[in-house]
Amino acid sequence: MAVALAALLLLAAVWTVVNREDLGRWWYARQPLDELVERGRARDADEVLLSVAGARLLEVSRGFEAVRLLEPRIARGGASGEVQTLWARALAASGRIPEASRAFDASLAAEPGNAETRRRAGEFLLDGERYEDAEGLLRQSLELDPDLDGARLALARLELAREHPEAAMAYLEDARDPGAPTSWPGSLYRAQALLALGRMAEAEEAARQAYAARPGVESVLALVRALHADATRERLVEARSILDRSLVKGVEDVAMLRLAALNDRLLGDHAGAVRRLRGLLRFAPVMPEAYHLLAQSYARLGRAELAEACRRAYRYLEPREAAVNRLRYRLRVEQGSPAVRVELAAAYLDLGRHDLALSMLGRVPPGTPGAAKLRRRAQQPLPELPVRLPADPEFGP
Amino acid sequence: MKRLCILPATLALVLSGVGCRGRSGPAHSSASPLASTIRFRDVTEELGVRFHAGLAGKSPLNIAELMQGGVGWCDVDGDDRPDLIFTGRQGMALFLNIAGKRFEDGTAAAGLDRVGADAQGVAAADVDGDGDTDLLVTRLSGVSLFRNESRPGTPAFRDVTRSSGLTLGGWTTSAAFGDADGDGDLDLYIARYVRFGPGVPEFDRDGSAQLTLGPLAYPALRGVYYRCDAPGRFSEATAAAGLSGAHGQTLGAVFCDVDLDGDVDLYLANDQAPGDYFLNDGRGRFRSVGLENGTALSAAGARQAGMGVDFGDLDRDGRLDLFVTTFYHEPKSLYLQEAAGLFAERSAQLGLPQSVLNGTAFGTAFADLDNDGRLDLLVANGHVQDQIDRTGRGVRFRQPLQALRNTGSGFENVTAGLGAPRTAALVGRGLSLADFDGDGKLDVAVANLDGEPVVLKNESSAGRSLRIRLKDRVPNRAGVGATLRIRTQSGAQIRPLVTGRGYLSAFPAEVQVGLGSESAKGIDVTWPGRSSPLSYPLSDGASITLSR
Repeated sequence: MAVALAALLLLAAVWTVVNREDLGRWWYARQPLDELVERGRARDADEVLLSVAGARLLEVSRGFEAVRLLEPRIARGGASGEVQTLWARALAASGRIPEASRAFDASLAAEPGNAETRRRAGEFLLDGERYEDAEGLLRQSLELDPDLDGARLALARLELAREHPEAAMAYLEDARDPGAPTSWPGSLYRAQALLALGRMAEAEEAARQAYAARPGVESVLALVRALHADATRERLVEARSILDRSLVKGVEDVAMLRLAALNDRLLGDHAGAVRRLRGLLRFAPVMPEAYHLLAQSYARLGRAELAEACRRAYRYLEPREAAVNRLRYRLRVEQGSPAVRVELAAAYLDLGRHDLALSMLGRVPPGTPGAAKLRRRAQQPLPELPVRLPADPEFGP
Repeated sequence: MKRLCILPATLALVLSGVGCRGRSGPAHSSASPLASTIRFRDVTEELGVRFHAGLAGKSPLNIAELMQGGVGWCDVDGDDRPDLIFTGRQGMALFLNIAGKRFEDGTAAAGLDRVGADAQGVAAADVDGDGDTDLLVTRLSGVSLFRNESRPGTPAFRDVTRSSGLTLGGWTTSAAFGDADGDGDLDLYIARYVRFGPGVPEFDRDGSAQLTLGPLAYPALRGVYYRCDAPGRFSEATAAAGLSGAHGQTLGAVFCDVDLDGDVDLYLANDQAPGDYFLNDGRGRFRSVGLENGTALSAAGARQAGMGVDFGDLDRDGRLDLFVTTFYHEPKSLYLQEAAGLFAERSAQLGLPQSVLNGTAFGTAFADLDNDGRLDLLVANGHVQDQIDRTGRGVRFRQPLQALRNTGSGFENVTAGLGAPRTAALVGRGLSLADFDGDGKLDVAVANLDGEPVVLKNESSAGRSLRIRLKDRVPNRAGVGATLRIRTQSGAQIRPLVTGRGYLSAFPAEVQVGLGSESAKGIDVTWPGRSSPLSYPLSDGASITLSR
């Protein structure tokens, strides 16, 4: 009996030693995050703890804290590939894109055979709309680990971004984990792909799964679009309730506000639509379609002068926005031509978007004709656009 | 159509706004007790119609090669039967209707075989007021006007473009005739698309596919309005008519007296730009009102890829509604005129959601396919990327022709009745209707960009019909632009007499109206240039000509 017990204990000890990393992950995943982060700040914190804490911080969009947590370990050198990848992700989540790019290069060089590193680097490139490079890394990631559904989901997202819903569906249907297509974000991508394919009943089911798993902006947008495909009053009321719940949480998402306004209009609630659209135009003051919808709703409410004021704004903004659209299309076709970038920057300035103009000029090589002059103009305070949300005592300033 | 039962409630709800006259439902459901079935048969080969537009193995195709394909029904030889015209990559073809039983290729005999491969669409009207139908062909560069000089049994056309004054250049698409200034002759609006020609970029890559660049890659062109100075002679008057503010990039154009005041208004379906709705003041001066009346943009306030366009009173409330076809991922726009001069987009509520009309839609027409007194809808689809099947976008180059039956409370999809397989996979462009065999039912012709066109004989179990022609003062002898109000026991139907509508297509200068089991009691005609209608009593008959 004693021998058996000793053998069992020995076995348990060996198992523990062999699996100590997994056990550590299991344990750290169950600790309060802030406590874990505190422990991670210690100089002798182990890499598993740092990895789990860093990943959990990124999961809850606390990228800046992840950077602070990981920075000392990276500075000492010799960090594991996993920590280096987390570091790169944290930099990306904090908006430090050039540094993130270098960090991903370093982690790929450190662990060229690591599927997860390739997946994360691929996702980083996908976020930067570098689709071909992203696709290469994600495919390599799947070759290294065919069970890595995360890479499959990222490829689905990539195909959605390319407006290839059928290809996105193929990746989702190829998932190894049977739960992947119904869990988030699989369900969200599935909903988006099905919406694009016009398979509305299935899209609605997937959108409901996505919303139940994570009722964020993208899930809400997918579900409301699915509900609008068959716009009965009952479904419009449900959509309004979903949108209201999300907007109450303080989400100031332009697409969501726009959809909420459209939903109100479909319900015949033009006063509600006016409130939403005025709110929307405070965040997006040069959005012509919002002015158009606002004009229509004001007209329905018999507020002819306000309707006409909004139409004037639309008429001013629409051709300028159309010029931007045309130049963005040309920029894609002409593969980032500096001359088109300069034209686009000028079009952004005409639309009052000096932020986008400067960003565009930032990607123009020195010496490009017209760029310097435009940059000087963009740095000047811009003359106020002749477009202003008309005052309305009933619905706000 | 599973949700039609909620339609009245939904509409009542959405119509509750100020300034909008509500109505309880979209249509008179009592118009006809007939339980009709819409059914067509492909008779293209049987009739001897061959016009292989064809891609000649070329791929990818550039934007100019992908947008062409017009069709027209009109009687060119004066035998009272609609002949058939196609335009496209092969130039132009004229098929003469032989007793409603077969068609004979009369292209060369008529002198129409010199039209080149840049032919886009066709418009038809008696331009010179001599009593026969002249033809206007839109092209990649300008237009060609052909004067009809046919004698009975001998079709003949003469190119009179130069002497007509139609000297515009640029890529022209649809053209519409109408007496815009009320002087008794037919003026002309010629839509134009983009500036395209040798040396411009044509393609983009998407994986293994080469995709055609869209219109945003090219400078937009605006359409041109021509005032008729004398029969067959035109002068450009775009700015003078107030039409220079159109957005351009126009594919569909229709002159129609939408507000029933005796003058034609103008709607332009623009690709990736707001639609233009121009209201006529009666003297040929137009004012843009699309933003105000709700027809410029989609229900979501977005620009659309407007392509084909038609007006029709689909809900029989005495007001003309508007349908605009759009790109595959966009809702198609069905603008109901809910109060005089005020439209609202109601496609999803009327059984035409994006999941039903999901094609890249070009040609379209309201037409009473089963003669039950309600306007049904036809839509020709086909993508604008010949390599789209390779991209994984879930969309095909060849797409189905679609038929939607008006049930009185919305539309139901009756596409199955069109007789697949050919109609299930077309690269559809222009579409037109006429009763070619005189059986009282409207038959269909569709231009197919990649293959033979389709001629469909209507074999629906249909109600009675009445064909109405007008005889007006010269030179607009056929009364193009008039609006007819046909009175029956169950109410009235409004029908505009419009020859240029849909996409790149021409329609006969007549109105065919379905009556179900009823008979028409009388017709009120709002003649061009006259704001109050003239009433005509009716006796039984399948065909009638009314004179001013």
